[in-house]
Amino acid sequence: MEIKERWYEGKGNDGDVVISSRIRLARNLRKYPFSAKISKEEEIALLKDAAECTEALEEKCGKNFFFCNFNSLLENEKLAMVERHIVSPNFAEKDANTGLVLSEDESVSIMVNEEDHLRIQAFARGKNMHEVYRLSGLVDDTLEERLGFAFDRKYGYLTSCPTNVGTGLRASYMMFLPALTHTGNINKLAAELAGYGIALRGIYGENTENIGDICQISNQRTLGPSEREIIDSLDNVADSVVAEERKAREVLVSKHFEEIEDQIYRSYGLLKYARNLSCPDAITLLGQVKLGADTGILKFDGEFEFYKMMINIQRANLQMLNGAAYGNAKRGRYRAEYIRKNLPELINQK
Amino acid sequence: MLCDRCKQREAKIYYTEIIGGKKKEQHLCEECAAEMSSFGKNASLGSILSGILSAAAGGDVACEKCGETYGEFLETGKLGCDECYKAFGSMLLNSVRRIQGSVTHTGKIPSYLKEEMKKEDAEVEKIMHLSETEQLEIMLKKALAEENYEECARLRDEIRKLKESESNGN
Ligand SMILES: [Zn+2]
Ligand SMILES: [Zn+2]
Repeated sequence: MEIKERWYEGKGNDGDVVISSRIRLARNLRKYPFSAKISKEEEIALLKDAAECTEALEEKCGKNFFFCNFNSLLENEKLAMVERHIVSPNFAEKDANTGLVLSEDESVSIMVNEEDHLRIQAFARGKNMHEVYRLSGLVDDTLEERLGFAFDRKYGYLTSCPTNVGTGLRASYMMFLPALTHTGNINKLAAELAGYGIALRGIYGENTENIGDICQISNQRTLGPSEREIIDSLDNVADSVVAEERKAREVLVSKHFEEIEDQIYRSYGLLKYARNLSCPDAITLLGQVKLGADTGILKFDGEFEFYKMMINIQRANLQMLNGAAYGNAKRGRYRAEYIRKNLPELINQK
Repeated sequence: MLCDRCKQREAKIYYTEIIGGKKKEQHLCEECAAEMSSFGKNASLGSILSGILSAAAGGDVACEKCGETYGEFLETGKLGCDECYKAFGSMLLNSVRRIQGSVTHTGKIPSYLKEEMKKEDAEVEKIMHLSETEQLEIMLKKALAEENYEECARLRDEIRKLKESESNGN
């Protein structure tokens, strides 16, 4: 299967710590009741409304867009999109006439008939929230012009759940925090961030663990501050988390250089030669190798694309790449093979 | 039923909170409910009141547009349509204030509304420059169009009085 270049390929700002930037906007059309009270006929009418916007979106955003009836996709295709954050886990499981508008590079996705009529998402690699906000804004304006959103002068954009009302905006950074995790400061950090109205959680949303020392930070409140203020305060917090993580890495490496160096090389060796790898193990090892690359302990002859590899070794995406379904044992072998092939070679080994 | 909190006294108040979109239900005795309203971290007096109100009203405040009741909202945490925000009035306002720490949107406005608001501003600007009689006459026209005859009568009276005092003054 041929895959076009996706938004996460290549390098991003502050890429040693910030993996990606994401905006999510919750929007509802004035003309239909919300998800809790919408009829099957209205759900289908909403799908049609959304599908008819793809051309205008292409013109406004300068990207190719596709529409599909999400609920008629295969289970594995749905799961692969959850793994790539194109859709939420709840959306993938929802029993409704769900639809998806997606840009070819997957930097824009619109879930149709989610908890809100539309959930617009935009992504960029590294730390680049202003670009992501600009992109989500283009999509929002294009859809608003054609569909008409429920809005109240006092409450702002009206949503199914009052936790999203106002701006309907959730901005989040996915962050790689190995040093803060290892020094045990991550819980302290979470408590501190909560004081600023910022939540720290696992990468697949609420109640998920942080695998491979990756977590996301996002604004908790959506009403009161403007979009700009929400993003600016998240940016301030993100900047200080980046600084803290870098400081912690420096301390870690300078105090325990030999241990760390050994651990990083061992991780690389395992990934390079293992014949069977589980997903959590592989992600942890890839994280170690990323730490090695970021600190300069490891030098490669090519690009080490951590996030792309992390996505492609997850169950559904691995299966999509190999084009066949298989059991756990075989999957572990395919995963190890994929990693061996895609991990760049070391140069200047001491 | 015994109180969920002290597990000793009879529960008399059905108390619901919505935290992070998740519903938390409690059956409380009067003492515990009062205590939670004065000391509770997550419970404000407003939330206690809305809990009591919904218990007293049996959750029968309903949205005319979609039929959702306030009780349903407490149950699911989800509103049924855009009009629910108006229909559930101050009860919902208290919930929103508790969840968001604010009840006033200051961010983005849809473009159609921006146009509308510009027109309204221009209208207000125009009216400000008119004499009092002229302003009343515009209001009278509007009341006529809306067939609000009581308001019409009141405005006509006012206009007449103004005109009389003007001619007396001259
Ligand atoms: Zn009690
Ligand atoms: Zn309603």
